Amino acid sequence: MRFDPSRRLFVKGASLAAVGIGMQVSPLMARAAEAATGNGTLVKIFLRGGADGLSICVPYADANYATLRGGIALPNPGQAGGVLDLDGYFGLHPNLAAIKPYWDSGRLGFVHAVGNYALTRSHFDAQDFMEAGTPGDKSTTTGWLHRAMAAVPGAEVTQTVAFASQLPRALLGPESVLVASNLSTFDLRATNWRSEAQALLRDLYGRESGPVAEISRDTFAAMDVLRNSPAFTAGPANGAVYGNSTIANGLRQAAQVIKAAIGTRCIYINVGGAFDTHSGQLAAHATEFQRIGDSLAAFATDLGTLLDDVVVMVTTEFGRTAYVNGSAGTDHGSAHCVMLFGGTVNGGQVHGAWPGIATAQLYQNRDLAATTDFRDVFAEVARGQLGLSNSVSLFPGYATGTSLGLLA
Amino acid sequence: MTLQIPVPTGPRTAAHALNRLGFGPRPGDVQQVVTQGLAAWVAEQLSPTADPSLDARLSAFTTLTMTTPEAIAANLLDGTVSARVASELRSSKVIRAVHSKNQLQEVLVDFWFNHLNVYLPDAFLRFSTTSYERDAIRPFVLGKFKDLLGATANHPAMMYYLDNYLSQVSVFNSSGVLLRGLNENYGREILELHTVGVDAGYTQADVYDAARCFTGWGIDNVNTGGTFQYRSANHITTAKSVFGLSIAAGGQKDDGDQVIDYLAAHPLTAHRLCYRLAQRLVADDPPPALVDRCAVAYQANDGDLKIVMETLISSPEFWDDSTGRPAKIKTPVEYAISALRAVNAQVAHADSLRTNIANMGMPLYECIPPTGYSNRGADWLNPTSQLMRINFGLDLAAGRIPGATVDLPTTIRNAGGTPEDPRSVATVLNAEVLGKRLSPEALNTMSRVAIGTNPTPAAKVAGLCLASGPMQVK
Repeated sequence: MRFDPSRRLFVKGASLAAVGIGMQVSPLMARAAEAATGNGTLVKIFLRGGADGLSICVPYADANYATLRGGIALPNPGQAGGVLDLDGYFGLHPNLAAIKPYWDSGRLGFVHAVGNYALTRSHFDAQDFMEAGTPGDKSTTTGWLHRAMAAVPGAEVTQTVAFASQLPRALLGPESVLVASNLSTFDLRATNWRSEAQALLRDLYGRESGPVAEISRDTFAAMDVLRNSPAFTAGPANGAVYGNSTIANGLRQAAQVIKAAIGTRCIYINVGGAFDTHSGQLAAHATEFQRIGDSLAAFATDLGTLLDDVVVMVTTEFGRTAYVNGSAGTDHGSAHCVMLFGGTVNGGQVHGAWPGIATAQLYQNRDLAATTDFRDVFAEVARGQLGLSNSVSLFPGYATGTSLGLLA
Repeated sequence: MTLQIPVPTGPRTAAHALNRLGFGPRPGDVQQVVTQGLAAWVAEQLSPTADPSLDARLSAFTTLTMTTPEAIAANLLDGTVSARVASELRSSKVIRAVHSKNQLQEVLVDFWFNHLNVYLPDAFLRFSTTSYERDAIRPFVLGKFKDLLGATANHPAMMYYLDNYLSQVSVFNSSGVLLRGLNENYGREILELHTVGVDAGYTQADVYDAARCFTGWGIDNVNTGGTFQYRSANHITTAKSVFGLSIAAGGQKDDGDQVIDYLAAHPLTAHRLCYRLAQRLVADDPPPALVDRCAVAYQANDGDLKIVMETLISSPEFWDDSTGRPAKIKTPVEYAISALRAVNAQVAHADSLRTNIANMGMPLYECIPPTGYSNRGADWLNPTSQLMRINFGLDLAAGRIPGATVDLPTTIRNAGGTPEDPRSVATVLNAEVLGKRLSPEALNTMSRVAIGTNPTPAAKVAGLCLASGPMQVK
């Protein structure tokens, strides 16, 4: 679908006008906030580098697992460093222990063997195809999540927030996105002349046209919103303790955004950790998965009942080889595992058809085979969480399959 | 190829050249290029010569001349060396970019390092990245690509970064468990990222065989050594086939050498490298005719990158700054360096600047994935990056960036302006560094700054100029 860029211009004009009259909320913004309130928030976490799904949700009870993984196979439940049993066949990576209670209470689930062979084993291509939502087609100019958010009513600059250093490909398109790394420092510095500088800069950018001026106007609009909400200076609630990692900082601020109730429906957290485990996989996973598990648990504690309206979807661009490689690691593979966490998740189960990991069942004799197209997962979660009708085309040229039953 | 500049020399073309073939004009630079003539300036840039004044600025950074084994050995005696090596490398990058007279060389070192990226903070790379840039990148940026590619493949930094030092013939224990064996990371990326590109049409089998060709290429000892070492016993000697190149069984290190020469000479490599160069220097979506012309020159001249550059600069598309083409937005590094140059900052170190640049989203030498940073300017435009650019510009002009000394009154006076007069400051910087792209209304706005002492009117106006839209594009 093509998005009408005039909507963006109209909206930007409106938010500038609101700023111009001293942060009084315009009727448009009020309507937008109303439409967004009480609806779900989708938190999308992208683990860059090809995170190994077979180490997140581990088929430990399959006799092939230990053979395939050799020296980097995780021990069985009950053994030192062993996986935590989920359903007698799959086990949770031990460093994800902090979120095991959410599996037990039905708010953590997985979709296994998710992928699409057209994604290729190239990091860049796989990420690009996945985020554009069109595997094999590089001509798609917008991101899939942008197409979803374009259909969501409301148009505040904080409707979509991305914790990333660049606009994620999934959100590429004319709708504005607040790309941020640290919300508490999202402010004009201009020591000793802040208000004067702000007025002059607003004036300068207000007169300019083109993408730089547009982004600058978004920047000031976002600054107004962020500086007017106490949620961005308050600490975590309910005794939640976040660590200091990219995912922890992302989720900590995601909780602030949700608690601030500034009309945010979509939060994207980009995580560039040590997931490309060509070597030293065990140690890398111990560190990274501990961060993921602890951060998600802190996020849930922090949000309390607000978690009821939140779904966190953790994905990566591809899985890794089912076999251990020659360096106690794994190389680029195919299908991976999507983690779903939050109040509306149909959790406590591993969704998707399991293809098995006997040699003959592997894709090209090396990778976990893909049985669920990633677009089916993305579409079901986004539609459910953002309240999109089936008429909204998220994945051009692709008819999503039957419901996987991912959301309760 | 004879260099032929297809446009007349003038302030506008001089500013364009300084923006695209360098890190942007300092006050006075445009006039100097006009006086010298574009052709002479470009020719000088294509043949870098000694720069003693730059050398003097770098002379205190003693780790810049260390070999990797020397740096590792020094750190074993004094554990603070590791941090100093990284700090001096970052500082040297910024100082070279800001102060080198060989501006094009610095642009190209930045470009080719990024094309053949390694990640500084990762263990062994803290000690080997200095040598990697100095010995494997810098000498070859105006030479043959096959030599550049070969130098990176033969450098321990690349062998470490893409795990090739671990890749070898399979070794099993007595129970048949694989202890060591093939690692396909480098074999894949040399195809996908360094040469022919992901759309070339190679298969997983090509990736495997490419990786097999490089088995045994490694490092003597990552903890106590630091030199490249080929281990014959680790090499897989079967026959191989890499994307159309057949390699007979029984080969040794030359299997990998053959792959390098073959891939470097491939027409898809020619096209892809030229596309990426044009994307950096010309437009986010570079004109196909320009890319094709450069690729033909590459192929006809054994991948000679200087001839490719001459072809690019001799093309009218390079000089087209008409409004029909979207302005090329600066990356964070390009923006920060150009801002430092715009106010004639004297850079002593980058220990603070590195944080400013990282906050804009592009930490120096810290791109984790082997893809390197995007050459597309538009990819770097977002609210946080923009806010960090604004804050940096305002801080820099106010003299609040440690390690970057700014003397605005002298700079403005030397350019014929009056530092106490806001309109004069704005007018001078608009002409000297902004290519006169500020509108009369913008000049009026800047002229309205309140007159005070901290910051001074000159600092305020210069800060607004650095934060302005025209400063974000090259």
